[in-house]
Amino acid sequence: MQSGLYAPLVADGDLLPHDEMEPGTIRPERIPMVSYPYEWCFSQLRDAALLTLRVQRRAMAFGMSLKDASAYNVQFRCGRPVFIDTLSFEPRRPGPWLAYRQFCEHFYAPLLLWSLGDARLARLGQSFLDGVPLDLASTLLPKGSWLRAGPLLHVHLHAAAAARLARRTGARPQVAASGRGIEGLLDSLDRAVAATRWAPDSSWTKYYGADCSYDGDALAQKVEAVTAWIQQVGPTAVWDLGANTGLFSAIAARDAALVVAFDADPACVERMYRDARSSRLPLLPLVMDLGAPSPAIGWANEERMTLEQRGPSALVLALALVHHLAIGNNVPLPAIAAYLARLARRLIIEFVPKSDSMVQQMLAGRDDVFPDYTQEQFEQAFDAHFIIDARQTVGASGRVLFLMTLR
Amino acid sequence: MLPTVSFGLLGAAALMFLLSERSAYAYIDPGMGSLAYQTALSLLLGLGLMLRQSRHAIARFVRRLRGLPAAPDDTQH
Repeated sequence: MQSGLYAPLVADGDLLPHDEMEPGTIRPERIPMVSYPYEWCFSQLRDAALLTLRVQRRAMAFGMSLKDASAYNVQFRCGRPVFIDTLSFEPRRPGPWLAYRQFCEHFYAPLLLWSLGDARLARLGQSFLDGVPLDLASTLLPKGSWLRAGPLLHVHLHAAAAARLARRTGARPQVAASGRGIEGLLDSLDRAVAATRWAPDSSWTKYYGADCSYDGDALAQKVEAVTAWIQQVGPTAVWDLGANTGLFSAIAARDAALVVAFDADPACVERMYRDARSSRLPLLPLVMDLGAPSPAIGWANEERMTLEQRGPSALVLALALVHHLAIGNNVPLPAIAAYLARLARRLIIEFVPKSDSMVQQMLAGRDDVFPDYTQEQFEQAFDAHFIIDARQTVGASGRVLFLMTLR
Repeated sequence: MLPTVSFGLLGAAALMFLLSERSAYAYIDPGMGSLAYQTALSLLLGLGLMLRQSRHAIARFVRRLRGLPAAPDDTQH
């Protein structure tokens, strides 16, 4: 704090504020929902990368430097990234930026794999917790990326140098990189990260659009019922499971202090993040496949929490979700009910009958081995964990909405 | 813009020549090569940044040498 760096970073919202309890002990402000880089969409990772570079540049102006550039040093608060690791700052020493390789592995290589390769490669982040190795990224990126300055300098040549020069050098390079040199490096990284692009597009981003299985009245009825129940519950925090592009998350965000919107489709999460960023809603969208939610990983499986460990939430929305889990993922209804009971105190859930066009699409070309997938069995399964407070049929669609309270 | 891009690509080509791929050993310190690479790269990029930031001053100087009037945006820098 003596460096004078803390105050401007906190004032700009780039650093999480903390209280100094006693010399050497700090208590940072609490983040309401912890998220991990492998749960972020493209623009969240990109914004976190730009924040890290901005913080490093600011630190250098005050004679300080970041000793690491882990993506886990960033969290999302009020719809924007914030740097949380106050202990990463140290007085700047002459020489290279020690966190350069880590920045490339945690941020730039994953962004390139996402934008120039395949969005599904983002899942590598869950396997490589210390960033995607540069030699692997160099192999996976398309050949054309060798012709672009950013990928060439910071991934391909960097990977080749790390392998080749390491064998020649026994100690840290003695040639000190000047402050101007590090500024040039940061400037190059900044422009390279800013140049990454990803255009989200998938069939799921049109779920409530032209391909929607609702007619206009049914959707309006659903919006009206869900809105009324959210206001009735008055939750401080809402988790929207299977949020799609966030229609209901945005409604919940009008009343709740925080809405966490989960979807398995990175394109949907990207749309939600861009919308939330521009509308400044208290919305945190995260990529989460509820068929295989984030596990406990890291050292002793204790460094990164499961989804369940970050709950329960005061209210969970599970709209147009159960048929994906029951029919798409073959999860029995009692198991779905038991899992949601560990995540939610109150629950707004939608049952989608087999007659619905979306379920018919899922059953097309396969045997219907789901005789228990009925509204009666659904209610029986959830009755074991929840009290059903209210139910409402959605127009002529045959879908039914339920408001429930944990027993 | 042009001097920076061409300078960066020329430098990159030189680095590529020096760093042609060889088989990796099983146990190496992955950070040391990166630091050595960064030292060379930051020299290159620092110079590029300096040239980019001073291009208006260089343009002004060249115009003065040629006896040309100052460009309208020169007064802004």
